[in-house]
Amino acid sequence: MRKKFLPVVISVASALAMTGCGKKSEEAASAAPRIFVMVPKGVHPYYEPCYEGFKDAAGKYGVKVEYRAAKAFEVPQQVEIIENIIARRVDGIAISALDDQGLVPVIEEAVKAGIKVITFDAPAPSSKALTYIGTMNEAAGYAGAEELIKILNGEGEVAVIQGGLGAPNLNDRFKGFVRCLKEKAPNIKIVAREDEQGKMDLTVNKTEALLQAHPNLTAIFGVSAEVCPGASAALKQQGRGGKIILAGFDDLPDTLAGIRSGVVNFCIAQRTYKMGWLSVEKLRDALEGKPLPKEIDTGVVIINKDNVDTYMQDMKKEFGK
Amino acid sequence: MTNFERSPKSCTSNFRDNLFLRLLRRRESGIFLALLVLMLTITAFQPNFATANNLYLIGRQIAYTAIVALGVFFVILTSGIDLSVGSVVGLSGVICGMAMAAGLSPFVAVAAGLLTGLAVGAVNGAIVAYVGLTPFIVTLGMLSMARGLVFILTHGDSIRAIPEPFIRAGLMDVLGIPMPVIVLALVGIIAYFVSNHSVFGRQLYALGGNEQAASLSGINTRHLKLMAYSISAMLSSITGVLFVARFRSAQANAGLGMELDAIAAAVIGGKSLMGRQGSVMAVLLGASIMGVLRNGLVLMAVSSYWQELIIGLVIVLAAVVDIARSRWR
Repeated sequence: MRKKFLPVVISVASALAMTGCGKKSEEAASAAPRIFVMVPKGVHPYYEPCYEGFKDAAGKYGVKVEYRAAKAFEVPQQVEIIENIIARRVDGIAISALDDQGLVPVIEEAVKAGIKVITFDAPAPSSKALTYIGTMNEAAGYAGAEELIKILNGEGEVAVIQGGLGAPNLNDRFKGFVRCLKEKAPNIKIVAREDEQGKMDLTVNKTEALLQAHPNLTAIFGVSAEVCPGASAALKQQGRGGKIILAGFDDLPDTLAGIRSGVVNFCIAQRTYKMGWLSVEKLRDALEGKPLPKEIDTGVVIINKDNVDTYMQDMKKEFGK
Repeated sequence: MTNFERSPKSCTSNFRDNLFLRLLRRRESGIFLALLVLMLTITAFQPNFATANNLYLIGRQIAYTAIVALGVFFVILTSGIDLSVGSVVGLSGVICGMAMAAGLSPFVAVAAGLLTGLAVGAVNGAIVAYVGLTPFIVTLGMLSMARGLVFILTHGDSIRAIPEPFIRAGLMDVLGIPMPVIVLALVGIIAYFVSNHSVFGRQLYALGGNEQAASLSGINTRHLKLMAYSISAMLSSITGVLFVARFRSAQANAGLGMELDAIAAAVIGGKSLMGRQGSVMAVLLGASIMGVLRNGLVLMAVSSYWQELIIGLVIVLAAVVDIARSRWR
């Protein structure tokens, strides 16, 4: 993926070099344009819109941006990448933190070197990162439940499927989901909460078992990304696609295809483009000495049949793109 | 050497009692009994378990894992281990899916998927047999490499342009029996004859029993190892291809962690990881216990916090019972 972005980086940089002379912005005033680097957790398509927002904002503000992704989602690799960036004396780093404690020392090192560090997408609250720009997972789970209540008219049996019981972000989503149902729809019962450990085959197997165990099941809600693709395969196999309400987190291509074909009712997507865009803006603010809030909730977008083909564009329109 | 007498062949001929007693003395009967008790217990708590529809679904769920477990069985027979099977499931599925997405006929795509498995297995086997590295290290490396290749090929995305006829074929029923179960039956029968009634099979047991002795008696142990790892990965790729139909797409993380389920099935099936023991039937029963347990825990609405603990407990319990059994004999 790095290769894919390289030409883009170069073209953005050269475009800046050409237009930079005429600009009277602060960035152009200093000798070289500022350099902001985005460090995702690793190579994953999820980060593509993040970087797009990062890049587009950089284009607007005349900043030079780079993208440095580790091959695997491993803390030592992410630390190494950040260390290399520090050595190059860039101006700002936006990190999607793989780990909280594991990144504390390297972020401190960056701060000491005078680099502004923020986190996006995944926080590192114990570190010296100035702010966290991303989805507040509990609020996102709450928003998902609100949408589900509308579809179910406030009644029914829901099974929740989650990928890993140890992930704080997923547990937060579940917490928000449960809280919303309790507050707004006491007649919707959560009849099961199953763990599929992030595995596709387990997702399908557990969906099949849930349908067997709960004949009156009206809806399945997936707290993690692989649930909608897996559960929709199981529902289709049993000819119950569209009859059982299926909804869940994240806009994987499989989930979007499920929405188009009617097996998936809606999904909750994070505003990834916004995360990238705001990362640039907040890094600029930090360089200008403006105080940053501890957290910035980017919110979620509910994707259903109506906006499945336009939501990405809609998210960008927010920033005039 | 006492253990060696319990290889399936000599076991039956030792006992001239009636058929029932002979069956009872086999190691498989204990596991079968355990499976039966497990199923009855679940039914007592949740009558929904024993419906025809649920048994059909469980049968299909078990088949995918059991095919992989049978492959691992051949490697474990040689006192080896194959940790790469889960990644091979993913890689072969992706190759098969990419071939179909590129417009190739499903037959060619399936062949490509299976050949991928065979190639990976041959690499594993060649390094273990001819370079002499520990199987644990070789296949651990392959676990990472094969999954890495999947990510390079797919960027983590899934391949969804799978022709509908292929999906239908992979999920179709013949006389009410789902396709994966039919494939498992075929694989199981072949595996049974190869392991119990062929020279190759007897040599595998001999190799697992004592490599040096096997080698001194003129068995080409290197060739045997190469074959065992090739079979293992090849069978994994069958599940890989079947998964493409099951998920209606080739998923980058298909088969993730499957090596553990396959090895667990083999261990429950009464094999020590030291090789030379166990049988095809025992592995199938082991896979069934795992599948029934997973399904039953959901049906009985056991809290998901407890499920993994119970599954682990059953694995260890099965191994303990097996050791106790062999000491009492």
